[in-house]
Amino acid sequence: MSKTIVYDTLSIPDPSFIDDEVKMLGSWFGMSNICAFPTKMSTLSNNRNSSGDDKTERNIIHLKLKTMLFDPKVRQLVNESSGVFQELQTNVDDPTKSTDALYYSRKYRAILSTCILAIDRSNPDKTNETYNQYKMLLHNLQLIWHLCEVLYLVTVPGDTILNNLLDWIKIHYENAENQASVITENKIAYLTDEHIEEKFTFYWDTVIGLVLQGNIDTTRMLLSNHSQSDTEPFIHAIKILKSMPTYSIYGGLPIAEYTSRFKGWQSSAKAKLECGVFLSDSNLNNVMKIICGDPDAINLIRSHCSTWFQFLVAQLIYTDPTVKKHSLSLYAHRSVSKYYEESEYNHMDTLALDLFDGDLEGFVKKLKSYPDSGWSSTHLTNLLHLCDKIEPEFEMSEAVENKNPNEQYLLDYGTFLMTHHSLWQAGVTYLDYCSAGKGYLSVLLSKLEITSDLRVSKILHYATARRLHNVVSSVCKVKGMLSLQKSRIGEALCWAIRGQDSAFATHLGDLYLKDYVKSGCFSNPDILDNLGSIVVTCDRFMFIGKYIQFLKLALDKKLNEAALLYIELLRSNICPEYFRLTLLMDVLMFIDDSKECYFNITDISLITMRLDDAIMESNEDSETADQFILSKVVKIRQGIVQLLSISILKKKIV
Amino acid sequence: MVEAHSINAEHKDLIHDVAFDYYGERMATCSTDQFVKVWDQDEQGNWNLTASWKAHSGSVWKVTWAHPEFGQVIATCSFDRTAAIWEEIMGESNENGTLLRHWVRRANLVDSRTSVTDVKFGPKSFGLILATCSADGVMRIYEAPDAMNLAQWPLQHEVSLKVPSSCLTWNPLLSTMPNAMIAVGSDDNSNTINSKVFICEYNEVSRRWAKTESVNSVAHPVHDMIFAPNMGRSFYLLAIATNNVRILKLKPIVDATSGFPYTIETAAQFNDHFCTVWRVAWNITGTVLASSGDDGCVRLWKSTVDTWKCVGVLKRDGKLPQPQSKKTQSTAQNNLTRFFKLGQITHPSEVHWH
Repeated sequence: MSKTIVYDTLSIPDPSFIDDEVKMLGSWFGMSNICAFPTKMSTLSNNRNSSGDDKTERNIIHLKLKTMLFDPKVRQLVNESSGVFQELQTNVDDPTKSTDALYYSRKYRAILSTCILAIDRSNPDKTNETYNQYKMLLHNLQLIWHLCEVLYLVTVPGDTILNNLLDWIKIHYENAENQASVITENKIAYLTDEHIEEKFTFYWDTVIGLVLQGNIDTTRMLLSNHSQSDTEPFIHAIKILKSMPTYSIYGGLPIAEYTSRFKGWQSSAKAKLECGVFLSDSNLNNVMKIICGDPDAINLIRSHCSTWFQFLVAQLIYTDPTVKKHSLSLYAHRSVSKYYEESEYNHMDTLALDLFDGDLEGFVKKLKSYPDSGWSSTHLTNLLHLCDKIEPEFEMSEAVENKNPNEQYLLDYGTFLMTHHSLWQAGVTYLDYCSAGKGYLSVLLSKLEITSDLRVSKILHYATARRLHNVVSSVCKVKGMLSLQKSRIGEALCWAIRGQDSAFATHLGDLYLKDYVKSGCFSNPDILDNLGSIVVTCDRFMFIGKYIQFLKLALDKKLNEAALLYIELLRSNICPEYFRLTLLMDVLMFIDDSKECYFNITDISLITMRLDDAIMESNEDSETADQFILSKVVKIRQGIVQLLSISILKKKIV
Repeated sequence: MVEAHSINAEHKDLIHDVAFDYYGERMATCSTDQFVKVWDQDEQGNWNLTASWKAHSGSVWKVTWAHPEFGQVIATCSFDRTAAIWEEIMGESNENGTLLRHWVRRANLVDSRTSVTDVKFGPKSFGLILATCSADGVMRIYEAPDAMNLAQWPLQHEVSLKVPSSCLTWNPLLSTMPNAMIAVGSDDNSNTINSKVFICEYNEVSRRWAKTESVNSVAHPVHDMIFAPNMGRSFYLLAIATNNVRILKLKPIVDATSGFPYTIETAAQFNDHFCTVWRVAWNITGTVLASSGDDGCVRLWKSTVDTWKCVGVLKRDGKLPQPQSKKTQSTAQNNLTRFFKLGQITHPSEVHWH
């Protein structure tokens, strides 16, 4: 029935492709960009002789999708609707909060209207083609959403839907009403006896437009402003209009009663029409024809309607004013076929037809391909799903994998927002409500470019709140590696601490200790003084922490405490191999003029044992057993002997 | 609406591969001119050439980035029978205050006796691990035992497939399936051997890599293969570029006791290119496949639950003159980049990339 183009072809014009032999290969990059590059295909074994003076242009082409939602003016639509979305999801779980679908539907529509107004304001002279197009897209969306609301969310007692349809048409096609107010507000014409229908060329168009929207009161007002309003035909016409019975749900009249009154009123009008009462003014005669539901008037009605749904509603006013919802489908199809000469429906037509047909699922599926990147289909399906309007059955061959039919929409829309550098946080909101969302979030969050520190802390905040520890550690590791590449070890260590990455921290700790072996001091003392929990999870930093504490005690001449810590360090054996001799050299610190004895015999035997270990290890690795190490060993040995002699003298312990 | 951005690659011969880093901010290109170039995107979105060096003594076929958790590392493979690992080093800053960067060769992998046709880093959960395949049909696994030391890349395993191999891909794997898996493709033209796609797996018990399955349904030469990123699916999708686009679905068999523990079925097959397909690539979520064919088109395929459909086509066009090229090329700062709009898509069903 409908002509839907499944895909579009994009031409990539580039001088690289002048040669027909040149193929274009495509790949993805970043979040959702496409890269295409030119190449020729030859069998791999064919060794080509490359000539250096090749002047062929070879361009790599990057394609980026720019959609309406990414426009700064439309972004408020994304942000505000994500707020409403979230409010709706939390209220659904809360029995004390109301989840009136109509309320939320109107909220979403209000956001659409505000967005349209914002676009209008930024494009006052309507010269920006893009914004004109966006406005049209959003306007159509609002129209179709409103129709869905009228047909499915508003409850109408007795199912007499016409008044609601009229409200819908009046809001979206306000041209007639606007023109009418231009005419009636023009007092000069009234005072100067000017012929109002001559002054305003659109006078009769306006009258018919009003009649076709069932706006009888304004029609009467216009007719009485006509220069001939005191003549017989006009008096009759105004009288007929005044006596037109109006149906209101709460008006008290039962449908049958109303229908007979309406028929009576229309047949009396018809009698006057057929007597030729209005023939003196052909325009007035046409208006009366419409009112009488005359089949001849159909072409006239058609010419005054810009869409078939306007046409549908206009006809219903004077042919079946108490139409029930279920018979709308039939009328809708008739209207479409009468309205179009050839059956050439556009996207909007099929959407509206699905709604009139009661095919919500078909409607939602088609709405998905509306060029709003899934904004409407996501929010509307979510709303309908929460109101139990769409049963979770459609298009689910693998129902187990995806319980909620709305979920695919949420996933797609959330993923789509995540690809934008500033809307990704809104995207997280939608993925949060998908059962598969966590897997998506863990991939997408860690793929976000870590350009600024603010952004990194936001990503870490979101990941931590969702217990995505793999994302936290991955992001921290990447940041740490980038710092390390710039030789900023302290910064790298901060990232290792933040990511609780003990393997990376061990590597950094080794860098610090090796640097100490060479230079005799630690860089970044401020960071090393505040290591935090990393000393618990990482052996290397447990050692560094204790060692720095030991150095401080020794510096403050608290040698008794320092000795205790020193022995503890040696006994626990957490000192890395390359640092053993450096640590043992520190034994010389305990030899001072006070001739104080800090170690007992077991301590000293431990020191000698560790020295033996170190010598043995360095013998295994013969390259390191150089003169430098030997001289160190000698010094340590002398120190041990001195300590021993002091302790024998002092305590006389053997 | 699509915004296009064209960058003159400045290679003196055919470009064979373009690879992007994890974030899509850095781009590496390689060419028959034996050079590898690295491009970086600045804050304004312009791509600037930051490194260019002669990496091999033959055509460089493929270039690939390691996960940034291992630093700024790329691997290349070449017709000169070697693969190489490169790391970016930052030196002292110059007088302008910008850090000087350059790429150094950390390892040269010389085990192959023929052209090395593909090189890929493994999933980061396996550590710093690299697979290569070569024209003599050998798949090799190299591993850096210490991820912080890129100089050591011992050859860990060799699996002989006995047919010229053209491409390989790592399965990104679910965490519940610890056995590493690689698919290797062959572009062998002779019809003597039927199978062109092989699945290799690491066996935890024997601690060895071995060929565990040959896929018989693919009989034409295979030019490229790629596993889809796994976003929590219970199965794996393998896209294959052969005489058409093929998507295989590997489903784990529950309680498999012996043999190959997956069922392999063809999930989709597209003949729209009407000729050889050279490249396949998945988007970030594994939902849209881009295939590049001999017809000069890149086609985009999207899955909706169990059906696949074409959602867009990119068509090369060399005939159109480039109206803006001369003007923008003369601007001094961004002489490498030009913008051109490809026109707005007004039809409701615009290209859906997502």
